[in-house]
Amino acid sequence: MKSKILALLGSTLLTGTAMAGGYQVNLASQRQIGMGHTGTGLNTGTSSIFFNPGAMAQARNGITIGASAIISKIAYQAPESNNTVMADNPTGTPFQVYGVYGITDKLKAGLGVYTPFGSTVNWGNEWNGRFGLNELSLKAIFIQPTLSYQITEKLGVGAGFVYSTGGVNLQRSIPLENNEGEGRAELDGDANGMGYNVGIFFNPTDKLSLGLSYRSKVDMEVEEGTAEFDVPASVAARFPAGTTFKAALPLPSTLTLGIGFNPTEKLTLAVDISRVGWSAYEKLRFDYSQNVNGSNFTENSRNYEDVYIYRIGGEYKVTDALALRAGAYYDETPVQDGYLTPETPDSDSRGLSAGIGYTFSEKISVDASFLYINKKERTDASNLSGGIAGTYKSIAYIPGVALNYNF
Amino acid sequence: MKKNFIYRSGMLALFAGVLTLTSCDPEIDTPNPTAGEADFTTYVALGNSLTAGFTDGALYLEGQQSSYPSILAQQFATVGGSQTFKQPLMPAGVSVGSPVITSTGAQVPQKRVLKIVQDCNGVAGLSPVEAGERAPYPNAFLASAPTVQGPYNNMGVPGAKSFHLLAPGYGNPAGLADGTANPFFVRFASSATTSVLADAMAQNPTFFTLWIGNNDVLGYALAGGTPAVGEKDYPTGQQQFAGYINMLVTQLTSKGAKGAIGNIPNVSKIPYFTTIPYNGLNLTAEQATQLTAAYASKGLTHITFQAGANAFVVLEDGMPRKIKSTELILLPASDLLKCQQGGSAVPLDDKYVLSEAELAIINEHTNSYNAAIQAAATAKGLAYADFNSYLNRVATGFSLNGITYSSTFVTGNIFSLDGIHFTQRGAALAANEFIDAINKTYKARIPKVDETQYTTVVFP
Repeated sequence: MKSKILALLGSTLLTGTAMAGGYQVNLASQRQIGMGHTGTGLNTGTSSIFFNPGAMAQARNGITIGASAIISKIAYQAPESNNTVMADNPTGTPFQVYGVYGITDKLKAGLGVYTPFGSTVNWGNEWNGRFGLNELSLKAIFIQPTLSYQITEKLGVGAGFVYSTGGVNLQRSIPLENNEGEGRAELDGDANGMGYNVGIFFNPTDKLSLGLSYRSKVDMEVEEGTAEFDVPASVAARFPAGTTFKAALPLPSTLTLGIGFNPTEKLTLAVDISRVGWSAYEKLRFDYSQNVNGSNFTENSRNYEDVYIYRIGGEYKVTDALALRAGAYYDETPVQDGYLTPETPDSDSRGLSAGIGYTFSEKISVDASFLYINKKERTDASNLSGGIAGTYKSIAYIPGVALNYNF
Repeated sequence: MKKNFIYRSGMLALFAGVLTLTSCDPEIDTPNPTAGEADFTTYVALGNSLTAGFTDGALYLEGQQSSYPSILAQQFATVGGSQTFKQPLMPAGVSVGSPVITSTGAQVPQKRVLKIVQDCNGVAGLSPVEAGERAPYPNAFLASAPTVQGPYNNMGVPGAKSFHLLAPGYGNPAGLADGTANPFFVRFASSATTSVLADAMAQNPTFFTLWIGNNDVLGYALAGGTPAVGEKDYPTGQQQFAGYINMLVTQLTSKGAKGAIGNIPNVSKIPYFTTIPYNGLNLTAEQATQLTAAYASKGLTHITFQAGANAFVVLEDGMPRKIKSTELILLPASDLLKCQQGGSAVPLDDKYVLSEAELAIINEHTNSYNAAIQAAATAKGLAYADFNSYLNRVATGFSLNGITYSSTFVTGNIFSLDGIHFTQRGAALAANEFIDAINKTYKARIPKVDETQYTTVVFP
């Protein structure tokens, strides 16, 4: 049953348009999205697999299935122009499936499948930046088997192994034209990588809980992608058919400290501070199997920098069945001035969220969330990244829903 | 029942929310376009081939439609400029180049296109070639009457020098024989007696661009600094040039029009003069020894060769010598160099070479013209577009919107297949240079054009 659902999700759903910093997608649980995506310092149930494996030892046996829809809009204006270009991004659908089962009272096993990174941006092949980018799709699905152990009543630890599978597809125009139009390049390849997710969870009193989690960097490597070129016949020899490429893209580490506080039985408050190791993303390099237009590689600097994300959220239980949630966060951009690109036209972003949870029975509950992301308008010369200079502004609306089944 | 209600209302709210939100787009706050202190109601452009939209060695419809004045007019329209900008358009599919004198009479070349052809050595490769047979002159011009009625906002006349714009009868068919008229102006002059300036002023322009002076020195450069005796291709006198510019600007501003004036780039930044390297003569040791001996046998012991790269041999002022690294070889010499031992056993003729002395004359005139143009702009408060600096930047190379631009022939994206005139993309970038100058001088905010929408060299 579970494997069928996984297969279905994996084959029909796309991962999201990057709407956190860089190409991170922080949409791991609808309950937690409602609370500003806090959760490292809380027992969040099955989603502890993501937020803090150390808390998973306290989770009930159960399965959670959820998904969000990222409706993202990016506007662009070239320098000193009055013409606004809108990226026509498909709706992204990041998803997650978590299952937790208790081997003993203290030892729990879990499996998580989730999509913490991804990006789909489509600028089309007419805008002024088309020689930089037409379309980029980046997908990563994390599969994470996890064990968690409750050492004492107050202290739990957990660790998970991450296998990531996905792919990249990049299309851009080539500035060589014939009577039919401009040339085009399409790079496409499957990628995979490995990493881990560890956490420690401590609840000294009934009212206070603390968590620390570390999700490692995962290097997504494309071993043999295909590079296809459509160029005028007279220069086709410079863009040989059958070219393959290698590339590596780091999915950065995230270290999070979380605090949970229950002033009353009905109210839960949470704060998370994350440090994301974006400095791992220094360059985007493609190595070709043969010379393409005179060179066997292309390389552009990225030089991202490490950033912090600050989150705050709360949940109020109106009744035993109904919970209302709200939260906010501030996510710094890892992209330095001069390095903005149309792949990830990133800037400091502000997120506001609301959520609702309803428990139908001991076994079944649903969570719905809504997140609004507003990134600061950003103007950049993009002169250090080979990007497209101009002004970018992004917003996103992200509704989501999840079903929890406990047994 | 209760479940159903929650589910239904929830889905309804979600659906309504998604609908509302998808119609809510991010906005970028930029100031609105404004004309500032200028008035673009009636825009007239004066100039030479660059203004006319001459490209790939000829005047033809697509080049005219993407001429920099046409692009400027389109941008001016966003700040109150007229929606119509009339040009003396060529019929579709017809192109006319500058007439050339051959042994069988004057002929009109067609535009150049890039094709895979066999060169003089029989080696196949990409090369700019004329698209078709040359037509006899002046018949080709008679068959290319403008397809739209005047008066014309674009008064660019290929081949025009500064004083030509002032000359009555420059469009008189009867003047073609003795060279007092220009076939490109004969095409669209309002009368046999009019001048380019008179036709421009008759439209009462509120705004003008003037970009003239290139040909005042380019003719000399194209002749390799050695115009045939009696030809008019010596550079226009420096004081005379300043006088002509002042007369033009004084008249153009006499009714209160604002305007922009462009200066002229140095020819040493143009591929026609920079594509062939001075030391492109590659020899084996054996060839070097033979050539050295051959020149020594004529008593020319100062001309020696070595294995590897050598400077070409040129004939300057009647004396064969090695060309200096600072001197330039003109593009039409390429077949001579490649296939007829030109520059090696046979010294390259004076007319294919710009020597240091000739370049000094060119530089002196260019600098003097530009000083006069800038002085005229300052005196009348006109926008001053510094194309000399711009072409220096092009020569260094720059990147814009993911494309590299340079003064490299064919692949530099700026210059068309004649090595002198802009591609359509190059014209769009020139329009943006004008916009920069106009915005600065008149506190306007005319939006820049997206240059990537204009073509560069088309490959087969």
